[in-house]
Amino acid sequence: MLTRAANKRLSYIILVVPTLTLFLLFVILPIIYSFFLGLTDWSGYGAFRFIGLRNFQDLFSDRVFYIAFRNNIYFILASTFGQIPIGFFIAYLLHRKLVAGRVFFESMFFLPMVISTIVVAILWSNIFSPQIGALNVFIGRLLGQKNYVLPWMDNLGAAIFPVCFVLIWKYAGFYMLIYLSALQKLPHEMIEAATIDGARESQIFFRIIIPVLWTTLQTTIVLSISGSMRAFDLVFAMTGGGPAHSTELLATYMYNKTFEVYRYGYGSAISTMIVVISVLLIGSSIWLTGIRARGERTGS
Amino acid sequence: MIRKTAIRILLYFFLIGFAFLTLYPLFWLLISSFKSNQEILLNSLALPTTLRFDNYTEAWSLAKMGLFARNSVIYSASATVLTVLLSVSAGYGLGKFKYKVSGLIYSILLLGLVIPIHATLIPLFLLLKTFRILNTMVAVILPYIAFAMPLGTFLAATYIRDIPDEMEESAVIDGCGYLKIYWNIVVPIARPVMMTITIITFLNNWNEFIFVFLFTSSVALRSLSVGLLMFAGPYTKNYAMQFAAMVIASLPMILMYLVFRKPMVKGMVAGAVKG
Repeated sequence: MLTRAANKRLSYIILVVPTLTLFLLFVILPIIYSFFLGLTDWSGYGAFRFIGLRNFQDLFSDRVFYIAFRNNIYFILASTFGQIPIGFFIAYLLHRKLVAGRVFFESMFFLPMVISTIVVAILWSNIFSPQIGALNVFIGRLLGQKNYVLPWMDNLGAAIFPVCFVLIWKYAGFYMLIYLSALQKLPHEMIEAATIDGARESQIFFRIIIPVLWTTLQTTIVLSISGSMRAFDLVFAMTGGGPAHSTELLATYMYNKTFEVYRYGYGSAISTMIVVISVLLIGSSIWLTGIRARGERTGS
Repeated sequence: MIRKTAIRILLYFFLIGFAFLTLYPLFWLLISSFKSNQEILLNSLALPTTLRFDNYTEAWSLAKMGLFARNSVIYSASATVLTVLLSVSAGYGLGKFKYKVSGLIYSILLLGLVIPIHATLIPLFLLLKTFRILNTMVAVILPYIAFAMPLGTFLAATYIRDIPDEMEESAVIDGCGYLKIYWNIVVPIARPVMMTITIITFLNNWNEFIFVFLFTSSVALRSLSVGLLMFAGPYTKNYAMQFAAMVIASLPMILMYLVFRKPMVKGMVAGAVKG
């Protein structure tokens, strides 16, 4: 017969250890393993050979790495300055009941979120496609030209922008929901009192709503950075990183180096960079928005 | 007054414009899935002349969407059930048992919410290869659970912590073991949060792509997302069937969303904001 305390400890182990083991084995161990692989030139078989930081030196002189990094930054910018303002604006309109039909609009804007990224990617590459693309036909109609093809389609430098557009299309509704739920926590009495005192909509907005939502803004910026650094499916299914690597992301480039040309070490070095860049960007965004929040509190 | 009305009209214009931009592509997908290839190539904006359900039967059997749908159900359902059970048990352990180590375990699990999934792909692939389970269903299900658990445990622990202690204490006095309390008291009370975890985990697993793509290689093991991409590549000429297949892959989640809108939204927001 076990004592009460021993029984408790045993139950705790039974409850927690399976979860913890699975997590350590499939999430934490791989991260550590990946750091280690990034220091080797392993190509899939044979023994590991340490080459120190050579992979990273190569990375910094790899043109495609910079393109991929730039595209990840574009993704972050599209999220921060596209999804967040749009999502916020719609949430605000719906919450303040400036328009009717809240449930309808809310459900509709969220719809792209429940559809798989792969379907979204294939759908939009068909819409943009020169053969059957709805967009070309649509614009051609408007301009009165048959067989119209958008001119920017074959411009390498601009190839990432349609992908950014689809990114905004898919996730704006998600940010709308986050803001909608944050807006529910607003001090209603305060807004009512302000309205009675004759405050304008813009005053209510800047004096009451923005300060209350500042932490949510901070959260959504972190989300948009971590989400953008994780992006893979959209580019993989829409462009495959092409043409000529112009739409490559860090994650797709990592995939390409590892599973298509079998440079496991080099691919792992890219993985490490994804983690490092994510941590740096998230850290600095928290720091930057934190400054503003502290300034607010001290009344400056 | 006139100014106010003008602003209101402007806002409606804006919102309806956005609504059109959101809905039209999905509507276009739906109408295209009922057209023939000639109709699509001739005029991609026109409505179908007849509703060709053949596209769907072709996609279901010829393009193997039926098989992929079955696989997606197996992957998503089994991973979800296990995720929910493990999350609630870990959530109970971490939320109610006042051991010091809980704090540490909790913060390790929270790391999982911010780790970029792709940084683990290469080692995971090698690990599964070492275990000799590459190209089996287990190779997909285990990582699914491992990656879904941080959020699940987190939601469950937050919920279970708020259950009043008296409930378990009286059960302890009655001589119930902790595992019995877990099953007879905690699980029934935690139903709402289990529902939330179920919905978001199932949705994420259903739409997941890279694990199935990398960790399975035989066609018989592929899921909807992966199967779809296999034949919907850039060289496809059977547009009609491809559109039908895309509808098949998306419809279950759209229906689930329409039925479980509230818990789904709540779960996704909670997961995002607290993560």
